Parts: sequence; C-alpha cells; structure tokens
Amino acid sequence: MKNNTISCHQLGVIAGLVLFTLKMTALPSLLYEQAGNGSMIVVATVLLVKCAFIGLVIGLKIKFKNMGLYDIIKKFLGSIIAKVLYFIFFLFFMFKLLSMVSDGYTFLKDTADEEYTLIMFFICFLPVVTALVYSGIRNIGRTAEFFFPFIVAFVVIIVVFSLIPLWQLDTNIFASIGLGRFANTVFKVSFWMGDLFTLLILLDKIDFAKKDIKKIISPFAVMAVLLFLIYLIYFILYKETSIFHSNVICDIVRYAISATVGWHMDIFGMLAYMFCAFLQGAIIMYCANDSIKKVLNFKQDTITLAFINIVIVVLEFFFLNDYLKYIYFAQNILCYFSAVTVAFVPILLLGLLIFGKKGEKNAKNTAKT
Amino acid sequence: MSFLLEKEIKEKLSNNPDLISRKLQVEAGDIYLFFLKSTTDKTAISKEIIEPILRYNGKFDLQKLKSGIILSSEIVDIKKEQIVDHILKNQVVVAMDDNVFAVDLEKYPVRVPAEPPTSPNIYGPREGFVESLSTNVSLIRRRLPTKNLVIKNAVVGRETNTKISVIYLKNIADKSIVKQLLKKINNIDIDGVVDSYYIAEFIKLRPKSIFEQVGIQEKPDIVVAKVLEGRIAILVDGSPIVITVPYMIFEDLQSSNDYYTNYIYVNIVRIIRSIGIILATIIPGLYLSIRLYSYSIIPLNYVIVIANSTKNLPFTPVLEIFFILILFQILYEVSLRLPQYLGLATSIVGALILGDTGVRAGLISPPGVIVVAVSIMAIYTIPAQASQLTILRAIFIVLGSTVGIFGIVGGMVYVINYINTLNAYNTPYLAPYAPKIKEDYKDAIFKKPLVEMIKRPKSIPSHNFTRLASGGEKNEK
Repeated sequence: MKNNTISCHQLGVIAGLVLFTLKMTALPSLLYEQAGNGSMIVVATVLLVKCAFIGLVIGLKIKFKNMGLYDIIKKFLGSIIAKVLYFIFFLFFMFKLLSMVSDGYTFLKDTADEEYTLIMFFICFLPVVTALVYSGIRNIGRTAEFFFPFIVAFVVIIVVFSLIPLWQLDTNIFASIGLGRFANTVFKVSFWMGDLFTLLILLDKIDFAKKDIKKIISPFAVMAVLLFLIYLIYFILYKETSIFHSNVICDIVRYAISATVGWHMDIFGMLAYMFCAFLQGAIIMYCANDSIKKVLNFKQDTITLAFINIVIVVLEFFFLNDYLKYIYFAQNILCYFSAVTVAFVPILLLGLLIFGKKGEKNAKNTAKT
Repeated sequence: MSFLLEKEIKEKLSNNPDLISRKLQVEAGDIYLFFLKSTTDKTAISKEIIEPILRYNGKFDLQKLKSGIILSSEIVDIKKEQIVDHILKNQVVVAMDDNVFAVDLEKYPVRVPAEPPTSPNIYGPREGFVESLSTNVSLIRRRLPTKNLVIKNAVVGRETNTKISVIYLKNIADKSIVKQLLKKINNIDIDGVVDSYYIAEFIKLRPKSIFEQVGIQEKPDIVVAKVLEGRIAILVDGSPIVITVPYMIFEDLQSSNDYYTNYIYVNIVRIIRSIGIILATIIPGLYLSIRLYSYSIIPLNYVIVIANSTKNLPFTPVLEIFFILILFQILYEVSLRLPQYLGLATSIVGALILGDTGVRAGLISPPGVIVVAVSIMAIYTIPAQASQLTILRAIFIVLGSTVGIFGIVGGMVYVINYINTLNAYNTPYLAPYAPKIKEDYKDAIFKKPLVEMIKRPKSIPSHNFTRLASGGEKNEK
C-alpha cells in the first residue's frame, strides 16, 4: 500500500463526513431564514449538485490519472494562476477551519457544559487535529474509515427515534421557491456548502480504480440520505421556529425524546458530531496545509502547521470569538469569497474535463506529504 | 590428545565443577570424553558411548568409532578449537588422537507440556509450550508434517547463546517479511536473552509504543493456525512464549476456543469482548466527564442518585476514581504474587470488605466503585491487552476530567490515528476495519464458519491466499 494515498472507500467516507459535519449546527436555521418552507427544495437541489460534484471528481481522476488539482491548473492556466488560486484555497480552508472551531465550541457550550471555555476546546481540538494532519492523509483516511460505521450508527439512532413523533405532526413543509430567492439563499449559505471542494485537493492522493467507483459513492450516499432526513425531520418538528436553533443534530433528538421514549439521547448526537468535528477539522487543516505548501513550495509540515495553528488561535481569540458575528461574516463576506471554490473552480474543471487534453504525471513525482 | 588439552579446556570453562573429562584407555590409545554433567544425559553417555567402547574388542579407528561403536544418532565432526563451543552446546565431545567429534546427548529438566494458565480451553487441544526449544519445535512439527515447513536457527546473546528458531511455511509466508525478520534477529547484539520478550523488543518496529506489535502465544495449535495464515513464528529456548508476526490488534479478540465452538456463539462472545475494551478504557473517564461537565445528558433521576451518593465525600471526583483504581491495582498485584489460596482470601478481603467499608465510611461512593470495578473486570475479557488498556484508561480519566466528553472523543480519535501509524511488516494494525478489507471480515470481530473461509487473510502479506482448494471438498472422480 502506498504511504500517502487513500483508497476509494476512504475517499467516499471523507466525502460523506465533510458533507455532513458543518451542516449539523446552524445551517438549517440560516436556510429557513432565507428560504422559509422552500428550504427542503434548496437542500434537495444542493445535494443533487453535490452528487454531480462527486461525478466531477471521478471524471477528473479518470481523465488526468495521477495529476493533482495543482498540476491540472498549472498545465492549463500556468503556475502563477495556480499559485494565486491555491492561495485563495488556503484562505478558504482557514476560514473553514475557523468555522469548524466556532461551530464546535458553540456546540459544546450548548450540549456539554455552559461553562466550557475556548481554551478547553483548543487544548483538545488543535493538538489532535494537528497530530492527524502530521501523520498523513493515509492515516486520516483510515481513522475516518474506522469511525465511519459508528458515526452512521449514531445518526441512524437519532433519525429513527426522531421519526417516531412525526406521524402526529403536520408534514406539509414543502413549498415552491422562486428562482431569485433560491439563488439568493444558495449564495448566502454558499460558505457552508463548499465542503466537497476538499476532495479536489486530495485528487492526487486517491488510489483510484474504475471498479471501485461504487466504493466512493456508497458512503457518500449514506451520509447524503441521512443529512436529507435530518433536515426533513428538523423542518417538520420546528417549522417557523426553525430559525432559532443552532444545534440541529441534538435539537431534533431532544424534541423526539420528550415526545416518545422519555430518555436522554443527546449523547448520540454529541458523539456523532464530535467524531465528525475532529475528522473534518483534520481534513480541512490538511487541505489548508497542502495549499500553503504548494504556494510557498514548502516540503516540511512543521512550520506550516505551526503557522496555521497560531493563526487560528489568534483569529478565534481576538476577532471571531462571537458566533453570531462569525455567521454574519460568513453570510455577507465569505459568500463572495467561497464563490471561487464553490462555483468558479468546479465550472473551470468541468470545462477542462470536457474540453481539456488527457494528462498523466510521472508516477515518481506524485505528491508526497 | 594430551593432558595439556584437558587442562586448557578446563581453564577455558573457568574450572567449573560440572565439566567432566573422562579418559578411556583402549588398545589403540586414549579416548577422551568432555561434557557438562548438568546438561547432558549421563545414563545415555554410559550406555551409548562408554559401554560400547569398553566392550569393543576389535581394532579401533575413528571411522569405526563413529559408525560402528557409538550408538548415538547425532554425531558431528568438529575442529579442536570448537571443543569448548560444543561442550557449551550441551554435547559430549569425544577426542581420539587429533580427531574430535561431538555427540548430541543433551538433557536438562524440562516441564511436561501442559495447558497454559493464560489460555485455558473448554474444547480443543490442551497442550502448551514449555521452556525447551526442541520440545516446542516438535509440538509444531507434529502438527505441520509438510515439506513446506522451514525452520531457520539462530543464536543470540553473547553470554547466554540462546537458540532461536524462526518457523514459517515457505509456500505461504511473505519472503520479504521473513528476510526482514531474520536480518533483525541476526543483528541483535545483547549479552543475554532470557525470554522471548527480549526478542520481541528488538523486532518491534516502534519499540517505544505502548501497543504490542507482535503476537504472543502459548499454545501450539494457535501458532500452527497463525503460521497457516502466513505468519512467522519465533521460538526462543528457555521460553514457553512464542512470538508471531505480523500482528494485528484484532487478533487479541480471538481465542483458541473460538475455533472449536459454534460460530454464532463465537460472534456473541467477540462482541462482548469488544464492549469489554470500550468499558475498560472509557467508562471511568466518561463517568467523570458526565459527573463534572455533562450531567444534563443523563436522566434526572440518575443525576439525583449520583448526587446523593457522592455528597460529603472527602475527595474530588477525580481523586476518588484514582483512589479506588489504585486500591484495586494494589489488590491485583497482591493476588498475583501471593500463593493462590492467600491471593483468593486477599481478593475477598479487599474487594468486599474494603470496598463496602470504604463506602460506609464515606470515603468512596458506590457509583465510583461500580465504575472502577466494571472497568477492571472488563480489561480481562482481553488479557493480552491488559497493560495497554490500563494505560489508556488512565489517559482517558485525565482527558474526561479536564476536557469532558470532547476530550474523550479527541483521545479516541488520536489513539485510533496513532494505531493506524503502526504498520509493522506491511500489515495494517487495525485491519480489516482500517483500511477496510471486506474479504477479511470473515474472521475479525465477527466470524464465519470455517467452510466459508475460502481465502487466507488478505491483510497479511502472502504468496498464496487459497485456503480451501476446490471450495473445501476434494473432487470425487
């Protein structure tokens, strides 16, 4: 087995996890705020687009073999544009990591302990995530693969128990949505939607075989279905009050238990989210690290990882420590910024996939982490 | 051969009293015998060497002596300068004129193969390895009478000259792993090897890791099963423990009983063992994190019960758990080192009287005792991992009490990631779950019936993965 590659199944697991994690906290309430009862249409459409994105990744892998995103951009657009784009990616991933930190910290305060401090969060989150990144993508992939069945089991338990009270509720939450409002909603929440972009950064690390395409799709599909069900349950349970919740995964199970089994099951939501948070954090930090290394032509991880850690701590402590302020920032400023990763680069790559010449990199030169 | 040589040998062996030199006067001259009386079979020396020589009336020559007079089966020609080495190998050195040869009549106290205390069986073979390398090799050879069995010998230890045998099946085991392993063993330069654990320390690729990287077995049937899967066994003279490599963590979930019992029952038992690992490592830390930070996640009536039973305790929750753990650990150490009857009495006094009195005196709480007791009992569902789980439990207690559930989850992610980095001898430590190797699910946490184990584990590098040829049944023609 190669040292710095992930298998197709691990890629599918990573895709499923990054699809899921950051959408389990405040996103549904932000969606409802923008789209009202049309939120489910937005969710369904976005999920379909994400499925198409997986198709794009597979297509790129088939067409450009062992070439990475950097090599593809460099080949068609030149090294300067590749470096500029990678710098933008680095910023995108840094904001993603900040978002992960803010989300995780708020989640912990909400579910575990109100007196939880940011320092407590940092002394656990950053060392673990950094250690994962330092150990390489193969180990991140394997660790994600190991925890994936547990995460799925926890979420399935939540979904099953949350479905019980639905029969007595009004399930009419589907409403049509105008194109303008749809586009505005997607634009406002685009920062939360661009997680699958990480897969493009991992392009040259995938140990790909055509026969394994099913292995990529199945874990991703499982998480997509669970995500859809959670959103559906959430909007049915909370309807107009959906805009007031910042912790979806635990809030649906809280409602369900009070209505049905009468036993606390927050622990499943907490565990599912926490496992996802560490793994997602590691994947994002890995991508941020990979991006900055490409920009600066660095080979060593130590300096770049230390830099990323320091920046995250400083920004989180001194600038973005208020969760609402962060959400406002993401909705109104980062959405322009994430348009590059969510729309521009995927469309560009789609063009290259259709019109670009096939390419292959010398196997000896494949990226080393 | 002269008196001078006899003197020289005695001097080289520090004039030790167990060195015997015997001169036999025959028609053709003097024949000298040198041996250590503590490690050779004196009766056999008399019957197979001395008596035939003294009774022989014909003409003596070296060839006649080796092929027609001495009755022993193992005779090796040696050089004069090798005499001391062969005496130390527990052989009888016979010298006539300038010719020397060694006769293997080794004998020292050896335990009879018995059921090892750490791997008792309900069904299946009850033999266990002993401290004699030749006996242990014979226990394996008896079960593997095949031309594909390879036994490579080595001697390690400047002072102990410990004999080591590396055993594998040449048509199954991965050659590169065998080569790597033999190189590592031959490169060991140590004064002495008194147990196989010494060798295990040298062949681990990450010696400082708390996780075992080699399999440790005490039963020949298990070793043979592992060799048949493509693993390599290392036997060390003087140790009843056999090392097997490559090693994967889920091996310890398997017991030899599992292969002689109904597979459905085995699946249930293996699930219980897996739960045992989680309970052993996580439960005390999780209890502390819930008690200190996240009490809202347990039902109110339980919160009240815990609050009532822990009020007025002199210790903080963390100190209380550590206090009980240390008490239990002391009891465990005492029961291990005392004779069995005393150990049992101490356990009863400790567990029942101290625990109960501690609770009544208000020093410790019932939930604390239950949590620690469950954790300690659960460790012994997988005795082979006891030391690692004990260390991990302490780490999770620290994490749970300082950072809460988030710390425990972080710790779990870190530990699993760390385990994933242990990729010894090209075998993923967490296989078949990380990386996912679906073909090997047949014998990991869950087990399929033997007739469905068509292929050998894919996780272990091998030349030949076919286990059940023709689907397990010979074609009738």
